[in-house]
Amino acid sequence: MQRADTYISGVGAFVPRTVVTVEKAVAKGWYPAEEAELHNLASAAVAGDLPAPEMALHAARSALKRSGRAPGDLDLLLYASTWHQGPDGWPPHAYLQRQLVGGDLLATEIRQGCNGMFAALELASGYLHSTPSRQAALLVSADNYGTPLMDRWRMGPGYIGGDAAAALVLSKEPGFARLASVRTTTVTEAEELHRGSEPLFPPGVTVGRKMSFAARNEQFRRQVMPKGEATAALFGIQRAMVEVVENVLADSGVEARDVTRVAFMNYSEEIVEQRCMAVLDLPMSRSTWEYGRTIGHCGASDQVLSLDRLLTTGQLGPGDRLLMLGTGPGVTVCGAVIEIVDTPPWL
Amino acid sequence: MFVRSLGVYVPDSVSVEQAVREGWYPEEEVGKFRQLGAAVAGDMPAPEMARLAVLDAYERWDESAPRDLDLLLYPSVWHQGPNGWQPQHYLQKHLLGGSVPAFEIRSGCVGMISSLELAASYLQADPDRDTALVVSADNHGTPLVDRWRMTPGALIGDAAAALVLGKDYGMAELLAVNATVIPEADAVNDGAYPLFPPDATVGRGLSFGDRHEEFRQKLLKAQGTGIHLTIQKTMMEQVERTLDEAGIGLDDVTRVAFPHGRREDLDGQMSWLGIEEEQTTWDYGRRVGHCGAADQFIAFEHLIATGGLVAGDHLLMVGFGSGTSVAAAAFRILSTTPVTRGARA
Amino acid sequence: MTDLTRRLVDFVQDNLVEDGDDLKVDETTPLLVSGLLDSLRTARLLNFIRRDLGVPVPAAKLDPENFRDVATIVAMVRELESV
Repeated sequence: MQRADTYISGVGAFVPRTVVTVEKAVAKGWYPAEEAELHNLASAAVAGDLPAPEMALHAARSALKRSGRAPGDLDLLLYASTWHQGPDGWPPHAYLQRQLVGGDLLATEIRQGCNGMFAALELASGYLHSTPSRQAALLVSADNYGTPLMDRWRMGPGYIGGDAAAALVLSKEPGFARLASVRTTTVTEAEELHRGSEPLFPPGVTVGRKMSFAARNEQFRRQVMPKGEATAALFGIQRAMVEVVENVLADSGVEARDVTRVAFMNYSEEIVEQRCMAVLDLPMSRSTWEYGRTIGHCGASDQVLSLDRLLTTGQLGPGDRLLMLGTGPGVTVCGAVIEIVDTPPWL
Repeated sequence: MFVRSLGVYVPDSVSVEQAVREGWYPEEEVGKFRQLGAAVAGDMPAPEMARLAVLDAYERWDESAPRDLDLLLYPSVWHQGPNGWQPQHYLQKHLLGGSVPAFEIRSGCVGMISSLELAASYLQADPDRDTALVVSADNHGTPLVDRWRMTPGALIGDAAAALVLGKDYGMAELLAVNATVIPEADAVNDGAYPLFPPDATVGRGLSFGDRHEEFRQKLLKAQGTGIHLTIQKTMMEQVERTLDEAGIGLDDVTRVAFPHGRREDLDGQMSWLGIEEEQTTWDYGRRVGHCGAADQFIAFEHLIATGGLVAGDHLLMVGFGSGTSVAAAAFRILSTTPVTRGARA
Repeated sequence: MTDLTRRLVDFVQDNLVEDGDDLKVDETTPLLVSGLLDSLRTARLLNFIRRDLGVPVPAAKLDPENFRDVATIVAMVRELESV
């Protein structure tokens, strides 16, 4: 869906200073040496016992400050999460409301796995554009994977889990960047890929079941695959990637070669290369893999963290375009194009 | 914005008598709290309950199909399935196909009301968008929850509700919807409880009861009864604002659907609004329990089905949730059955 | 076996079969039901076809029916080449 007039006026990021290297993880026996060599990842950001909503607050404060807007200007707060956030039955966005933005706006937690920020972009655009008086929205994502039931070093095939938070302030008034397009699609044949043979009931966490996409992927390969039709799923995912890319580029009026940088998930070198850059026919130098490999796959935050990094290091400037892509459970495939219009006011 | 159709899945209730016999519920609470039973879904996964509610909505309406939707929002309260997986994908696989954007919303027990706002705005933002569906489902029959004892005075039930929103016509008009949060009214926001590690990851059960009791004590010490007043005052403000936007007065409201909570709380809410028990959904709610974010919506369907709401009537929904959220929505009933484009008056 | 078939068989043998697996690939080895493909391996295969064989596979052809085994892939590639 084309969004001619949704702007990004602020970007915030919070990446914990503590980083655990792959060398250390191998030495400690947490991460297999063969995988270290195979995937070529460097390290993961680790938040310790800093709760995800606390990280979200840091990122949100930063984005808001940089946007030059006051908390009272906000009409919407969307908080994307992929993992448990705090006490059961308690909404993490309420923490940001208590500490930063107050209660007088529509606020909710939203979940679309690692594509949560894309979902937030879709909903926030719709929310702002439906009513003239609505002006700005705060989008946040945050996760801390350092909890029982989750092992960041065995999270999934070809990636390790990192802890971080990212935030965006969207506005209708022109900002330093324009959201040129956002698209989402779901490959429904692949619905079981991320849950393997795990039953729907009772929900895993209520029976203390450990979480591992790697294990489920294996289960999917061994148990579900032989049924044949399940493989339609994998081709469907590739196809969806190609289609989403075509659509967001067409919406934005550009070709793949015009894209300055591509922010995919923070995965292994081979995955980023084979599943993303090769599809676009672009070199790895245009990916965000070099940065991503140092912090890990940070839930729904990867792409916005990359955006922040690229802006801060001057690798994205006026006239440049960032293509954001992501895949997640569902299997959802999402894309967005951000055009940098001006130098961000905080740089 | 209009309601094209309403669908539900409400499993059979287990009575408090049975719960007493089984030793799940103390006998002395039966007369004291006056609850009658809770809907219990057994081992049916919540997403499957949601699927049935969506099918119900479409079967009654018969003009469109789930694949035609422009958006699906799935507000949920309790855990839905495997970790790292979201329930909306189950609906995409079985009903919607992959082209309907579908997102899970976690906004506590006001989730369905908040989702109405989000979905309505999404539709309004683009003339090509026509219908959106909001569906909520929860099965609390899992470890970490004790539906009979968790919230003293109330029972936890399992149910699913689906509401199809559309432009121009429908069986009811969504006149107004508002949601707000009183962040200072929630104990957790103030650091009263550790945010880390998250409860679910350490197998800590859902314990609103304990949290609320401790919190009440803490607040009473710090602020006196001020905070209770703030919550009630905020409710009144949300109600007034909603009725105002809807262009109606409290006198025009035929029924008010509150969450299916404690009778004591309902008594307070009734006196604040100046309404009688017959105008509430107490009689229905006490038979099914507090069903996550779906209470007001299964009650809506129940009222329509039993003649409690007819064309020309107005329904006011009021919701509360942790955060502390307060929400309200107002509807005008146009027809007790879904209408189609060709048939509308 | 044609050169194209040979190249594909070799690719599958070297890149999709897991180390230690006894499987000897030929042009009729089923690819879909054998568990040889996961998301990364599917991508590798498609990239090989595009870059090394010089035949990009358009989205419309990304159907499992075209990837049953090497023989089917060869048929699809030939069809794409002739367009």
